[in-house]
Amino acid sequence: MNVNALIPTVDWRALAPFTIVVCTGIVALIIEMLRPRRNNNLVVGVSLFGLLVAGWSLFGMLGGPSDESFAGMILNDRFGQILQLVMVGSCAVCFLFSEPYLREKRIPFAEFYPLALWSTAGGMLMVSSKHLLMVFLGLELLSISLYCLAGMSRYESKSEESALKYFLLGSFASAFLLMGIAFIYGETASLHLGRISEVLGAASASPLSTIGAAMVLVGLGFKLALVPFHQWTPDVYQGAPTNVTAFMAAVSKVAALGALVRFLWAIGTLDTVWFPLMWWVAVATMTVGNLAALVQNDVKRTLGYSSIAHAGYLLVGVLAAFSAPGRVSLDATAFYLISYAAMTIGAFAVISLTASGQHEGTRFYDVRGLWKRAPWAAGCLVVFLCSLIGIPITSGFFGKLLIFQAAFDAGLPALAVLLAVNSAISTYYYLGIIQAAFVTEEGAVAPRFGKPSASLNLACAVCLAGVLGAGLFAGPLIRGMGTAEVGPPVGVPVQDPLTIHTKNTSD
Amino acid sequence: MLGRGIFQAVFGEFLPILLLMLVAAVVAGAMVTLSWVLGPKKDTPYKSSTYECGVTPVGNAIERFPIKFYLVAILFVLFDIEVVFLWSWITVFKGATIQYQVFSGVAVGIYLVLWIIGDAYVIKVGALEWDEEPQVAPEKLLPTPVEAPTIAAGSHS
Amino acid sequence: MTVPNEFSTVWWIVFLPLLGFLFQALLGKRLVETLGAKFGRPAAGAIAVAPIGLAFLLGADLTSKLAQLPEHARAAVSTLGPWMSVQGLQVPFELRVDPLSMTMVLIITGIGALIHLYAIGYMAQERDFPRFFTYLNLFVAAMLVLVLGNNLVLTFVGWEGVGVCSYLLIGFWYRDLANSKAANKAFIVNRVGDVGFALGMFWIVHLLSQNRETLAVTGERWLSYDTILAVSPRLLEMFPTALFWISILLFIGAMGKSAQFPLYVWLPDAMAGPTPVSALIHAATMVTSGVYLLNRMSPWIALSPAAMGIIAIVGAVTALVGAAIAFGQTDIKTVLAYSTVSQLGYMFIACGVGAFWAGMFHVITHAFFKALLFLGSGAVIYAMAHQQDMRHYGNLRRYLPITFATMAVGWAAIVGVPFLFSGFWSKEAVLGAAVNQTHGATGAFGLTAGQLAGWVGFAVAAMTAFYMTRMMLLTFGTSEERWRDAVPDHHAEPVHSHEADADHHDVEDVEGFFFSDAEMERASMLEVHEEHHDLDSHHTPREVPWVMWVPLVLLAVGSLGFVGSWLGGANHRLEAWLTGHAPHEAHGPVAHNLLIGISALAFVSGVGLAFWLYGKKTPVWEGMDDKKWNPLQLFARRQFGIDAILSDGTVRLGGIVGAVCFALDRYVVDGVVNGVGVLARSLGGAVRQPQTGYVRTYATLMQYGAVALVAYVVYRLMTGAPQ
Repeated sequence: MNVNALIPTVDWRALAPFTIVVCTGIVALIIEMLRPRRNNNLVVGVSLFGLLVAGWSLFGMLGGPSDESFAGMILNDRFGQILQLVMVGSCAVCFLFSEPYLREKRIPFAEFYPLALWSTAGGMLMVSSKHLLMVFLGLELLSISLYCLAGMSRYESKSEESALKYFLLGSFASAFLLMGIAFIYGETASLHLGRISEVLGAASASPLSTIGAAMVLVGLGFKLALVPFHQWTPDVYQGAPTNVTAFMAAVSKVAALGALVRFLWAIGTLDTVWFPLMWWVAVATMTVGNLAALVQNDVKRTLGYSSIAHAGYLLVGVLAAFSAPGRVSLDATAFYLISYAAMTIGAFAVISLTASGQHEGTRFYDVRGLWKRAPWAAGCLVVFLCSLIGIPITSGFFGKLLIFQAAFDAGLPALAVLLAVNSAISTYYYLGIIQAAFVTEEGAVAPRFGKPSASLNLACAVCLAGVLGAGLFAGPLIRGMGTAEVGPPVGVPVQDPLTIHTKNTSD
Repeated sequence: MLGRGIFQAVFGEFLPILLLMLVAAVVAGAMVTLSWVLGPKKDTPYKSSTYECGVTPVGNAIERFPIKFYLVAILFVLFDIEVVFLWSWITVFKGATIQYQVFSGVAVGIYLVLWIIGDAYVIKVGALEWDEEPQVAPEKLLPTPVEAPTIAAGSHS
Repeated sequence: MTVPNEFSTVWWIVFLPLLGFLFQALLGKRLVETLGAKFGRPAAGAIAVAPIGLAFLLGADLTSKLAQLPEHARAAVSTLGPWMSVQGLQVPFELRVDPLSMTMVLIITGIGALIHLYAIGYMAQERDFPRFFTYLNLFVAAMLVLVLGNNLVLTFVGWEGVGVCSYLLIGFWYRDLANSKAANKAFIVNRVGDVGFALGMFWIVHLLSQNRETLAVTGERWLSYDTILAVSPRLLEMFPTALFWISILLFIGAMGKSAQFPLYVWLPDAMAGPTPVSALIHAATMVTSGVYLLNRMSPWIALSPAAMGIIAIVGAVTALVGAAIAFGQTDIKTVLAYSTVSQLGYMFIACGVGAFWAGMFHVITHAFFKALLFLGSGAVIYAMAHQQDMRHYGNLRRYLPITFATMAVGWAAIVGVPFLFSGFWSKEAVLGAAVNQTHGATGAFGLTAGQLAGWVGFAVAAMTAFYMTRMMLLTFGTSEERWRDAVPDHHAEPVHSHEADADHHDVEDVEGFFFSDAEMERASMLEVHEEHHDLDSHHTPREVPWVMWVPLVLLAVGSLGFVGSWLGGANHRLEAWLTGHAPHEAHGPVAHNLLIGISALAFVSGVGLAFWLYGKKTPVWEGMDDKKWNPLQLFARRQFGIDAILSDGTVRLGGIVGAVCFALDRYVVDGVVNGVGVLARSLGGAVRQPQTGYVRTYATLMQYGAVALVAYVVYRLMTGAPQ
């Protein structure tokens, strides 16, 4: 047996961001282990530094050509790099406001930082590989860390409930994903999406591969909170500590979207089967998310439903880019992801102010008078919600505009119209949040808020800069991203260790 | 006739086994169902109590037991997996070329270092100490809040 | 198009209010704190007025420069740089200087400056003084972007920007739940229109981006107005239906902002904002942006006669409904709000018959006299201890001579006193163009849609004369001083000032932000804004301070007839200025002198009837007792139930749909899952608790979803026969 065939090309540069994030997590854990001081400032500092370095290394790679290394396990391309940057940035902003929140809620759990870092690393792995095993590994790394994080506030039953629900349903979804991967492997004898694409393109569609594809879509749809796999979202978002919710809403959605895009592109030849399906899923996701949000009275829950709706908008962008390759690019979707991450994290950061001395209420009623207590944060909240509604100058408007136009140009006008109508409906509940934050101040017994700390204000400022900056400099930003293509890497022979291995054993 | 043909086409030589399984399922199902349907049900407290070696049962069977069992079990599973990894690696390692030995040795070395850090963490937080409360260091616990804020005195549920 | 350097100062028209906004937002509060309320507030106010005034001067300068250019070349574009330049969408930051935009700029900055000045006095007692001017300056900046932007996207930016500012200003007294609700309503109804605007805009973008070669549009500026308007005839040949629908979609956008039937419902509620806001935003500027949009897109919309007919008819219906509802209103500001709705209808009639310039003419005169009337009503409200109900007024001409005189000018303008006041001229231009429309979409009775709208307009003119005279007589007329026998309102405790903190008792918000009746009731108990002291029998109204009456006088001068005759009289200055060519004398079926006669008849009959009914003393059926009201007027007062049906109905419908959706998500499917158990328990008489959130339910639902997904792909595979 010639095992030397298994030594892959090692490209540390391609893996550097991922390695840095993982190692930062380990260092953070060691620090936490060795000197359990009263505050976590060192842990936060090291984590932020690591994220900065990872972001810097990603930024340095942005211009480079796309290639694959580690036997086709790691893909280094522009699309993946951009999504990884978004994730690293999101994680860093979450860290900024996490420390005051954790202190205010008396959650003595500095493991939050390493776990969140590893979770980010998992997300980064998901979008930087075309190998289904790696995607699965990344997904689990992302998810398992999130399960722990959701249950991090151990004295709150809703946090525990959230973690348990997320864990049980998440493992259920993972089972679907694995089953689907197995089916596809059964059909194509490969786990590499490039190879799968080739095999599926050569032969006619078979039940095995289509059912497998559907099951993978179930697994990824769960992570992305697409209808009908969305039920967990509001419950988990509401129950998890707010900083974890923010992290979850941004990072896990970006990662799942990246993986979904790669997968859909790989099964592109089966599009007569899945395209109408995803079309309806997009419609249902936008509509159900918005309509169900109308009757909520908890801010985090409302934002949970809103994140479902936004997943629908993103899916519209993806479908548009898929159905008109060459004419419509994924730029719109990538841009929307960036602005979505900024505005969602910002909104949750502000909501985290409702935590005050172990207690935290996030119903509309509980954010009354936020405007008086923390004017800067409340002002930022208005901007974030305006962006979520899609008011011009904010990046949310341009994201929607670009997706809207992409859908129109790709010949999906019905989706575009539904998107417009849905975004009008969403005004209602976002205004409800704004109203709650402003109206009825200075009652005799107003809710108590945590004191807005400098780092929280900084986090708000970063998100604000993201929301407004991305809106004002939409053009340069998108041109800077370049056309985020997800085509197969050119000129690199597809190495698939498992195919080789099966051949060897049968010899 | 037609039905048989389809079955034959689909299941081929496994048809007899399928039939056997069906018969077994039907027989077993019938036995359970019939006894449940036909059997007399006279429920007495004594009858419905748990059988515990003839001794009167004490307490509820569904009760909580320490999570430490779970913790130790899961750590054990992790060690188990580690051994499985190492075992399969060492079998390949023996007959491989020097390049592969170096490459895989480094890879497994990294893996083991991570593993040891994890172990150190487990020991440090006292997850394996049976009698102690495994928790974070006391310094990390902030002084308990003066009092939980009374939110909206009474009107807030 | 080249960029003449002399017009690049146009950017400062936008930047000045923006700078004012930044100053107020960042330093305004500190300034007031440093100087103290007495000096700080006027200082902050003066700093807020200054940039608007400067922008006006700048605008006047640019206008005179523009007027010196030859008629056909009166358009210039000033580009700041690229903004969005991505695949299939190029939008630069560019402003357009042309007669239309400069006309709007002069209205916005000129009347805006006066209203800012007035607000310094009106809001003097307000604790949140700098916040008010922050919003107001931001509004002016957004409005200027709206009218100056040289592409639909930039216009849309301003469009939404004014919407946000309007939202913030209506809800300025945010402690009051009702204000907050009014603000939400305004914003949401506007969003309905905005969907129309956005869809129309994207359709245009799509049509152009798909046909760039055919249409030969190239370069960075292919979405600018000059390009899209130039290619519209070509597009008409290619996509006639699309052109019609785009016009309708843009019109829906205009309907939302300009409060056309049935989307007018937000405007009366918007009067919850401070009176200067009502004057500036909800009378003079923002609500006319729909008219501006139709004017801007006029070469495009004019290509579609069917759309024009619809616009004219909607305008006529709006004018009629607004006037009819105004008959029964008792709140002075609400009367003015409905008259605004009605007058906006006139402007749309003008656009619908192709006399776009006449629409703009009415925008100009209306901006003067309606701002005047609103500010006058604000002065009355100010003098009457913030009592807005006209049933508590009467004989105020004795106490408020300046206010009375100026408001009388406004009244004369809106009811159309022939020749002497500006309103007559613009109304004449609108209705003359309408009834003399020679060709257009077919209406009824052998008239075109436009002619029909014109005749309705004359009827509305008579109605306007009636209800405006009623308002004036109830407020200033007769010798009854009705507030003297006013019983202090149901406020148990007189509230002393803005500064007072309300003692709020918390109410559980079981309904989220669908406010429960209990919450609304509590909120109405706590209406504290604008209450200085209660109106009682010893109250003596006093004339307002000079910062408030000076703008009134200036606006009154602007409402005089010479403005109208100079702009729109025999020399047709405005028409030539806006359309860029010398007007041709139109000869329609109705002679010019006959029209003046009909107008005069409408005016005399309306005013005469009102004097006959209200001149001596207030009729008994208008008292405080609803039961004595005559049923027709009471029905009008309740807006014929339109608002109840539309907004409450929609909100309720939205709530129901949302609840059903949520329930489907939770209860029903949960019920299916536990169906048997539910049946058993309900048979057993047990009440089933609406248990939700079971993880097993979610898992089951997920499984159903997955099964459905797999079943669907298999079905597609079997039937679709891919490849």
